[in-house]
Amino acid sequence: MSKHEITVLNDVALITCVVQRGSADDIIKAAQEVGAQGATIYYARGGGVRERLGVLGLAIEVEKEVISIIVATNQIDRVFEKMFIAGKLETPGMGIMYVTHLDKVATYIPQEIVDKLAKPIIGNVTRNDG
Amino acid sequence: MDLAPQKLITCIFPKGIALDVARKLKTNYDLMSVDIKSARGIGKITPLAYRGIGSQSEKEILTAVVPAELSDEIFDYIYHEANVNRPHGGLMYIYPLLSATRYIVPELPEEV
Repeated sequence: MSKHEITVLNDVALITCVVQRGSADDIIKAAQEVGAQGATIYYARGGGVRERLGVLGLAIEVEKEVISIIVATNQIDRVFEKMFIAGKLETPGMGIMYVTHLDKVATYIPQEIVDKLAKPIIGNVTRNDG
Repeated sequence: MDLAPQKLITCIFPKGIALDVARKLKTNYDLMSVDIKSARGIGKITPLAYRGIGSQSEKEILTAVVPAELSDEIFDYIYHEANVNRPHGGLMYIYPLLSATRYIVPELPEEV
């Protein structure tokens, strides 16, 4: 097998946010304002607190949007807080959000950025020979 | 119950790649715990950024629960098979699971 090189990012985390359908775009916009680069959204169906709030559970949308955003560990608090406020998650039934620490992330990184990052911040970018 | 250490690999691919990768994982690594779901992706550096939240594109999310001892090998395999190392090639990440059941297909007779 030929030898390949993979550049992986360490010190990254995944923020996952589950909200009512239609809320995701505003939350992502807020996250991008404080440094998030992009987001992935998929749809889901949720239950639980919905049955306890509102008349016949009509107050809370059963359709959900699940937002995934990958951020550097030093950005977690800033992005998390901004998303929390934008999504009004302090209100019961609006949604939940959590952070998962990731072992590593791989994606396309232009060579000039790899060179730039590898010199001053050793440990943030790792190369694996596969 | 077999609760050996396992990790979750998640890949966010442009539409049209995930099914082929899932098939290869099944063939080459006997992985049965592979799921694909559809999603939309939002980027920041896009020509349509002026619209407010940037352009959106269709994505596929592939998730695979893999044995921890093989996780790096499978991660590298997917990276190369899906050609992630190109602009807009998607991204992938991995993290350990606290516990996970291991799905093993029972021995079945060959179909006639």
